[in-house]
Amino acid sequence: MKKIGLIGLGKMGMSHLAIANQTPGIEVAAVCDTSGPLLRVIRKNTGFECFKNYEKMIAETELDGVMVLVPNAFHYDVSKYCLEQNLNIFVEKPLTLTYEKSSTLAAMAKERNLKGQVGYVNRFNSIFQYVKKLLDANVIGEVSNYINTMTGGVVLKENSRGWRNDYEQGGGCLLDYGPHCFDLATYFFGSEVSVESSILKKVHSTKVDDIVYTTLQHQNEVVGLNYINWSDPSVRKATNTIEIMGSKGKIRANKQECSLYLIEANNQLDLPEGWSQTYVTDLDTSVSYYLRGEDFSRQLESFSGLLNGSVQAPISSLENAAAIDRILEKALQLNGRKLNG
Amino acid sequence: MDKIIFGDNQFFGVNHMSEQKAIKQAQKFRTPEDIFKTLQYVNDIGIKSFMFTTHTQMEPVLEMISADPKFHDFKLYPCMPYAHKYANALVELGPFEMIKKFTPGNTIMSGLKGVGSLISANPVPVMQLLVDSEMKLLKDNNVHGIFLLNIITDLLLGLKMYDMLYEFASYVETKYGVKAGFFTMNYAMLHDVLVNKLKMENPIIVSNINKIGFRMNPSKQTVEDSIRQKDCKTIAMSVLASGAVRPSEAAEYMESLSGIDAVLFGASTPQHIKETKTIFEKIL
Repeated sequence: MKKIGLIGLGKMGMSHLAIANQTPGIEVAAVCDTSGPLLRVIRKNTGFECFKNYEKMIAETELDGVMVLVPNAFHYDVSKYCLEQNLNIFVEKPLTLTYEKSSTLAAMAKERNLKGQVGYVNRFNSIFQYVKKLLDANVIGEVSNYINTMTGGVVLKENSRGWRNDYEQGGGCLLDYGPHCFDLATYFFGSEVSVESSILKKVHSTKVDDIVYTTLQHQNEVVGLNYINWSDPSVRKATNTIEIMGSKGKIRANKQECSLYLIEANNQLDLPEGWSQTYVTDLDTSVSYYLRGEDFSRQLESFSGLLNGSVQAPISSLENAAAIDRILEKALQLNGRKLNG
Repeated sequence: MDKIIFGDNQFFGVNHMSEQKAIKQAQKFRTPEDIFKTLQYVNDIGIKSFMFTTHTQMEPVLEMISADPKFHDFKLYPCMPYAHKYANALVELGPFEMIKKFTPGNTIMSGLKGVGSLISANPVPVMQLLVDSEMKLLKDNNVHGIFLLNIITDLLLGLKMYDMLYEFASYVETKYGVKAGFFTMNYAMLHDVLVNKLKMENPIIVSNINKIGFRMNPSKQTVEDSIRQKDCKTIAMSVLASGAVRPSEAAEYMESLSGIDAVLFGASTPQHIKETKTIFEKIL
């Protein structure tokens, strides 16, 4: 049993806390948040040790790992401190929004032989894992190109105030939705990637973008258009869809279903010629504890495996998260912008 | 409790298997009248229980139901809290109007209950306030049970705040004189907590139960073992796993699994509703 502490109990924090508390192989030994009233409620109604200061929590609790769930702007400092204390880390996405800082964290973890995982939860979706398997098995042959779409209805009216309208705080469609979208691209096609073009368009926001068109080239082979829009009123919740073209066929997938088109049948994997369909209900999705989708549970089961040694390499690594931050940086740079960090 | 309970997912574009299917379904139910028409059919063919999330779109439908004498024996099972409703109201009406809209009776008293709760770090009064505010919209309706949605049940389970589950059940029973029920995606865990830890008698649990084991956590086998203990009332939902299981197969499975007390299902066409009803009535 590995002991972990949670730093930051905002909306994501509470759900991570519940999930972590029920994930086999880990035990939540302490939690930390700056909000006094929130800590009072938690102290009074649950069995968790509570701290207002994370340094104190780390000093006074025996821990194997921490989950860094604080606002983006504090990811770097808190994560760095935890690594310095020789603690394994799970950090919510995006890692730091700065390639330099993110790679510093990745290098530190490597040097100290510590495990690091970043909250790119799409990698734990059963359908996307199935797509990855199809690609690894070369089912659609050589991949030439893809269209990767992420849409949602977050900003539907004038957006002129708050963090959503501020790049420095991780606002804008590029920095908020972009990481998940680009992560899916790097998951499937590798994180050795160049940003060929990027158009950032405003619709409702005054200082940031609402629509993003970014073309990427992976390993000098696969080209892809990443279309991201957080101002789509027709979409009930954030939706990722990807269409992948290969020499032997094509894949179209979202979190719930995967359509596969094959020019010729694949007898090895028993896949027919033409279209075939796989639904999430066809795959094994059981989790030890379910709160808000299997993906979030499986993400922490994987972190537990990482701490306990049953998972060797993180499915969502610090290095990969750094590569995503580089894509974001480059996309901003092509539009004459740079974060102060 | 009736053996056949009609659900509401199809009215609001929820389908766990396919977004396209969800969109198609939602297109059929654009107005409260569309929803009411389907419920009239449901009532006419003898399905007398309806379980629904307290969406804002349901408000006019509830009024139509209470105004129609043909629905006099139609039982309602509201499921709460519908969190988006509060978030949207906060944005659209502002905090003061929102409090007025949702707090029953005396606003000042409700405010005090909430503030007191904050100071004492005791979430029970807040829970009671939320239940009361949802029930305000249902004061003219024939409510037979009040259910806690899985996002809250499972959050409390995850945090091991088991007492809150108990408090919810006893508040609902003493204040409204009806049984409480719990939705969950963690049947085995909840079953253990309600029956063994909280010693509740015949608690009502609503959970995914289907032939392919979709969202039966931690595993199909464990859930089946808990159901077979028959020490709670089990309402099966997602019996067709959003369309992945054929109705006849689903019925066969239900029959083999003794311990299911009722089936909660949704469908959007009269033909599907009637077919599903007939199939499950036979085996329950």
